[in-house]
Amino acid sequence: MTMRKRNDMADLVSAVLTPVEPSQQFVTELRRSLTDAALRSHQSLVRRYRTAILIGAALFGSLASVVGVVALIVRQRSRMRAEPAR
Amino acid sequence: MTEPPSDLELVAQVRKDSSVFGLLYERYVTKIYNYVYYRTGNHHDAEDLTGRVFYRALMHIDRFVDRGVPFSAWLYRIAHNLVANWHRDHARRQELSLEDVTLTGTARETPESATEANEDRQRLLGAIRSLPTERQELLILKFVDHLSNAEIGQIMGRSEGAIKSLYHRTLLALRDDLIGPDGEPGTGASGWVSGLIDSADET
Repeated sequence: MTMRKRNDMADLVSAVLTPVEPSQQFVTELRRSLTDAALRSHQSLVRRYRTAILIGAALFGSLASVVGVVALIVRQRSRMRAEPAR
Repeated sequence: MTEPPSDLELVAQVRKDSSVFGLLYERYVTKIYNYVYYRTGNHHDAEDLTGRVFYRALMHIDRFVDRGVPFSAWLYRIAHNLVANWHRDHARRQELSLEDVTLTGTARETPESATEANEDRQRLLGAIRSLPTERQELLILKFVDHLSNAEIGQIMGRSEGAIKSLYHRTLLALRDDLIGPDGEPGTGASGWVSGLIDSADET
């Protein structure tokens, strides 16, 4: 196919495949609902983070208590072991 | 005057504040809508699928990784996949009507010539519709969304040269379809289809 004929064909296709505009109402409504979805997803992310922080803090607190109790027991035992020697 | 932020800059901002997604949406809504519209053939499904494309992009934006492929190509890939699912789910490709597709005539056309021209356009649209999906996609991206061969290559996962070659073969196939393999016009050929046949006779 020569360049000219190819250009003719391209011109024909170009005349048929013309860009269309989506309705303004559709564009506006979709933007609004995307903004809402973005906000919801942000809020749910914040909620998830908050829950994760709470769970983390609770776990840390429990772990600290357990470590404290264990340290106390170890200290008590070592003191008891030391006393008969005196 | 400051340059508008690039797509990549906007994507980085969206990861911190998802409301910025609206800017990306405004940048691409018409292009994606056009792509979907010409792939489905009607406004109702074009609106539905365009909405899904942007929802999916918003929800999965963390999955977009800059590996040299632009954000727009990622968006078109989402649209491509959704349209493919749509064709599979509805299994209606054969009965898809392109009557909705805008067929615009020029103001100078008489009623008869306008009818003739519309018939020709319908024939050409029918020929485009009968092309394999990737060729239809190429024509839509080129003529409706006005993308370059390089951009189309990034979307379709091919080299610029491969797109150029596919484009050439597509035009050739369309022309053969309209004129016929023996150089004879199909029944009802008129207007600019006849013009195309005349130009084919010149060589």
